[in-house]
Amino acid sequence: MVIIILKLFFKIMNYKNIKGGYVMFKRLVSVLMVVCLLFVVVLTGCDKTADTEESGVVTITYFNFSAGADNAEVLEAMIADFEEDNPGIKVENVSVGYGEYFTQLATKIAAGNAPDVFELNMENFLAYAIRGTIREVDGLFEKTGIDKSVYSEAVLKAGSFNDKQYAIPLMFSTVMLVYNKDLFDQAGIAYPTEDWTWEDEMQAAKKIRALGDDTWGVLQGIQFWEFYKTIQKNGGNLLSEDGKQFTMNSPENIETLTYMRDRIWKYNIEPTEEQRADRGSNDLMVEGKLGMFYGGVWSFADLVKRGEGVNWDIEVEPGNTAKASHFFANVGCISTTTDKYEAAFKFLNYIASNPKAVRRRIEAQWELPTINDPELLKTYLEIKPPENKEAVFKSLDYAVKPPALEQFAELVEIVNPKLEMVRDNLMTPKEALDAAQKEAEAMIRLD
Amino acid sequence: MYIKNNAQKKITVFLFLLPSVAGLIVFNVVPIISALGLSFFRYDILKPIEDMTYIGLSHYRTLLSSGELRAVLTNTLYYMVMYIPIIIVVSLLLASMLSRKFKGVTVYKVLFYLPVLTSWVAGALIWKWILNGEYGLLNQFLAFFGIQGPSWLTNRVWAMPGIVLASIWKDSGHFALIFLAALIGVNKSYYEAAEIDGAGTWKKFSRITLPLISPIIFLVIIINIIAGFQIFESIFIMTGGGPGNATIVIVERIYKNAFKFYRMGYAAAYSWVLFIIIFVVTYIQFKFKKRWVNYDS
Repeated sequence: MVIIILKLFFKIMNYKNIKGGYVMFKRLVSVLMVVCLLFVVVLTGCDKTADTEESGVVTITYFNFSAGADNAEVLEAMIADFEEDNPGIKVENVSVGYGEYFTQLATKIAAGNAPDVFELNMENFLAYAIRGTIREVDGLFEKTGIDKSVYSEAVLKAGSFNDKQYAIPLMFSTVMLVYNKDLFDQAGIAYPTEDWTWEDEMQAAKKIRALGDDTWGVLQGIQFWEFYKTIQKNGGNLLSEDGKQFTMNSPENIETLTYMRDRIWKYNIEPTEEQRADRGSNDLMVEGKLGMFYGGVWSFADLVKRGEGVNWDIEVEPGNTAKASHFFANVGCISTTTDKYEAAFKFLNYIASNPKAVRRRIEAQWELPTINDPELLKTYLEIKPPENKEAVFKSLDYAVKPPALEQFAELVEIVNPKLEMVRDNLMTPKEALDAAQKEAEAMIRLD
Repeated sequence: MYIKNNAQKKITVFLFLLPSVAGLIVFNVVPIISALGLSFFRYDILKPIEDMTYIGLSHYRTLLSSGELRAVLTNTLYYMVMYIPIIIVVSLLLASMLSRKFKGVTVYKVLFYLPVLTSWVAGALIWKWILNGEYGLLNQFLAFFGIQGPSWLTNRVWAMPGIVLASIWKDSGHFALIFLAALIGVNKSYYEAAEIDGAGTWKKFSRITLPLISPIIFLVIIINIIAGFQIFESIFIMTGGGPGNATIVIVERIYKNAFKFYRMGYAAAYSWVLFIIIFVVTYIQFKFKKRWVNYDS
């Protein structure tokens, strides 16, 4: 290849033509192009030499989405630590944006080209576990001598299926009531407490709403995730207890959805889509126009960055007849098709529970570590604001999880448009939930 | 090259065609036919291929009996009814401006063609920002005239017009170029004759230009109807089918079923329905074009 390009180079240099500036210029351009080509050849050559590695080194591919742009460096650092501590293993890190992650993963698996290790959020975990794409890891705990009890019991469940452990919990997050202290002061109301109810929230929101035309009491939104959580605060659920039937349009659920709609359309303590005008809850909060919203631990960093001068704190979400808080987790899975499962298993446990990795995660505030070592967790609690950081862990007492269904993604697509019809006041809660129930029964198999 | 006999000629022709025909077969014909086969199976792409089950026409029955297809077609129609007239008017206007000779015309040609070369992903992301309800460029521009613009992409009624706006920006350069070629092709002596008879600008345009470029207008309409049924990137990035189901379209459904719900068989059935729709629409257009397209120039 190099020889051919060199020949080409000499041909251009010896090219006989009428002498003149233009021809000279053309020749110069050609020469430059040849030089560029040479560079490409040399560089690809370099790449090849780098690829051939010394024997005995295992390379595993880690396919993930949660690092994103914000935590890409943190993940790189964790991997570097791991490679240093485990000289026999190299990790190829492939981070993909959340939007296209599952498409790419599904395509890779379908093509028989699954990555050795991949990340899943708990909503999708079951869909992959049921389909037999994930390796069971209980045996690997015994074989490698890694202690399962470093993880807290609650988060381990996020990666278990049929009473067996299929994945390592990597990180988790909870959602709290985030509130603006200044607006509470202005309205002359006491700050939220852990035993607040819907009624307390409603009263406070009304008073804050009265402060200004574009000042809002609360922002929750009506969508699938908020819905399945809020109905559980009112004794409802999406599925019957045995998981064999949908209970989408139960009286409790209709009542809950009516409550959610009334906050927007009857009392207008929460903005309609038109009034919200594409502003997110963080936008409204940092502009001092929002009393309360339901925010996950992931929103803290942005609030700290943009919300200078805004006095905000958090509390466990208010409930009605019961309390319920969101719990989300991301788990690390090992492909059933890989034969490098031991290296993969070591790697997952390292980034999930090695003290060095955990410290890096806490420093970066990249969600929450899944370990239950109180000493390490203390460092997380010490990072402020928010002042009431304990609420992050207190929320775990009321944790509710997304429904574990093989066709989870499809259920969201069925329910969400109906909820949005209620949000925009185009359907009554009963009509919407009846329709959702009917369609879910027709399209989703529960067995 | 001198070719002696017929057989040799055939072989030569075949060899010349081979590269593109091979590509066509591998990347188009085989997938189209295998999609037809797949559409009779329940095929979950995350499961091993042995788990495929034959279910006959069941996918087509579900598809045709669900209200979704009607919603999808209504949305597509809504898009095309807005998009096609506007794109023709805008690109014709652009073309007639660019057909005049003035300083820097080439620069303008390049500028108007630039969006065509831009990737939809980048373009759609920028338009998402332009169309933002509170901070968006468009609404700030409208506010200058005292108009309160909607939250385009999160509003049921305005989401599709928002997409149309972005598509016009993206495509008008391309069709302007096609119209420009057509305008240049019109014989100047017709205009001279008309001027002698005292025809004005509008008369010249409606009586000479329009009939003479009608085959091109027809072509642009067909291209856009076909492309309209296949609209995807802009919707996928800007609205993802929402709000509600206000912007769900066929290709977006195919994508979601295949890669989000892992129902590849159902997605294949959807693709075949799309194919049949486009085939029928195009056939009808060709059948009736004689009525209004003028082919002598």
